[in-house]
Amino acid sequence: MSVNGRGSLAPKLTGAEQQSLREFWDVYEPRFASIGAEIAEDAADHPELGSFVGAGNGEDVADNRERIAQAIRGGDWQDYLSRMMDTGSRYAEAGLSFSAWFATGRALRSKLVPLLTDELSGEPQRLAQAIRGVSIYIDLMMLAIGDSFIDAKERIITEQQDVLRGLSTPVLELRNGLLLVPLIGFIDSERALLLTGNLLEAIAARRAKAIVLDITGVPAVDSAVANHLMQTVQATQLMGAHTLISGLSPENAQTLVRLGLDLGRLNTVGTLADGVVAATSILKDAEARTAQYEDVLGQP
Amino acid sequence: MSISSCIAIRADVDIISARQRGRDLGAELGFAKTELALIATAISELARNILTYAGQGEIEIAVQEADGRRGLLIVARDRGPGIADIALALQDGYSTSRSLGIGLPGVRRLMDEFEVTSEPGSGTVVRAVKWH
Amino acid sequence: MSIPILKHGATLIVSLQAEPTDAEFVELQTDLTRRVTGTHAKGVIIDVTALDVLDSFATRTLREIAQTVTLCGARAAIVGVQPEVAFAMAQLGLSLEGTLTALDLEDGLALLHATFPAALVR
Repeated sequence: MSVNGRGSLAPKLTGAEQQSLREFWDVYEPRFASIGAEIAEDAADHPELGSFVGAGNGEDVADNRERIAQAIRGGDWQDYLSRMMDTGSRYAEAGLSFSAWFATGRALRSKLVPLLTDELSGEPQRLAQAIRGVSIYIDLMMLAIGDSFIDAKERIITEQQDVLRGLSTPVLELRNGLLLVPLIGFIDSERALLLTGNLLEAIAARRAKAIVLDITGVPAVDSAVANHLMQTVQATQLMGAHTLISGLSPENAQTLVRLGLDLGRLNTVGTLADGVVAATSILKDAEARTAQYEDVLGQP
Repeated sequence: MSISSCIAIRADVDIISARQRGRDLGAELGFAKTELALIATAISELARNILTYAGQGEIEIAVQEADGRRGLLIVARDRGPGIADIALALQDGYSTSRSLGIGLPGVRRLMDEFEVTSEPGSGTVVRAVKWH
Repeated sequence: MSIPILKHGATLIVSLQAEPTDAEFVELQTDLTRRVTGTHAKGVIIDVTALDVLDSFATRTLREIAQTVTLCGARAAIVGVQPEVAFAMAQLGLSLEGTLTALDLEDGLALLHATFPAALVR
């Protein structure tokens, strides 16, 4: 038995496996609703599952049963498996833990095996097949739920990381044309790229001419970080803006000098305050330029 | 939607055709503006390398699928003199200051997957993928 | 097809539209140099707002144009580099260092005027 990768919802079942499933379903189908209700009742006490595993109204139950029948008898697993995958996503989005949803599979198994044993006690051959069928069924179900559960979890983590990254590289407009970027934490190449991209967009959007990139909150400034910063400074220059780096600690400065880096292109100023003063001066010059130019244009 | 294109690189106008095709296919795949610029620039540099070192070659641009993801595949082929020392050519800073192109390290930085196959005398193949 | 060069006072303005081929870039270089000396222009603005890509050749050529123009007694400014283009250039290590840059045409003219007041005097 195998389930294809994401994208295809058709498990490859051997003839024997299909037969096992049918044996199991023959016994389970007429009791589908009642077993479902039992499980829901048991789950009501589970701290996490309580709100999830409801008995469902009559229609839902009938739909579910129909889907499984379509799969097991009709060989069309599409609807059933995609429903299970939805369930997996929902569980992940609701913050359900792995053990909680795994427990649902165990609960089903614990109801079904005794049921089958009772029903088929006189037919060991069929009982063996049906029990095999339970296994296959629950495996398929858990695989589908589990797969999409993990996918959804990973998606959520990535989204959270994106939000964190967005928070960690804010671009603030101090005054018209002056942007302040206070960097906090370690700068790796991914963060540096994100920062550069955001900053360039901001320069275009806010017509910024002066930027203060404050690295007071960046603990380790090695040559890699220095290179990233230089790259950022250069990129902003392409758009006619000046970027000043403020907050480089004396220790870090010494390190960089010892590493033999040409810090001329880093445009460092002292503290954040120094940076803002210098940037404001740059802005004032630019504004004066524009005013002068407009005067000239106005002359006959 | 076309799946793959092969653009002959024989003259500077072909550089533009190649990167335009890359941009178009990239747009169809849903890449953002920033990524499209990166793709177009990478193709431009690869095409330029072909012209500079081999005189002619081709660039293949195609959609790549794996693990449910889709990406843009770029393959730059030429039968030029080949790269004698690939390790050296891939070294950051090796040809960034030279006037001929920005070199392979730059293109590698722009793409997600990148590999160079080259033998002196039998040409070069650069294969790069950018995943969506 | 050659790229149109407009005159604005003592400044020449070039607005690059579609992606120029290498040959067109080289032609531009020649044309501008000729025009600068011929018209005693004091400023040159190259507007690349419409360009989606500035690769190594384009970057080098723009720098060379700026250098040539300076040798001819004028000043050049490159304006309109788009954020995503600047981003790609930064990652590739391409720079227009040594060349005046501005956000757009307006800023570019103001910059040239301040740097070289003669640029806008008729």
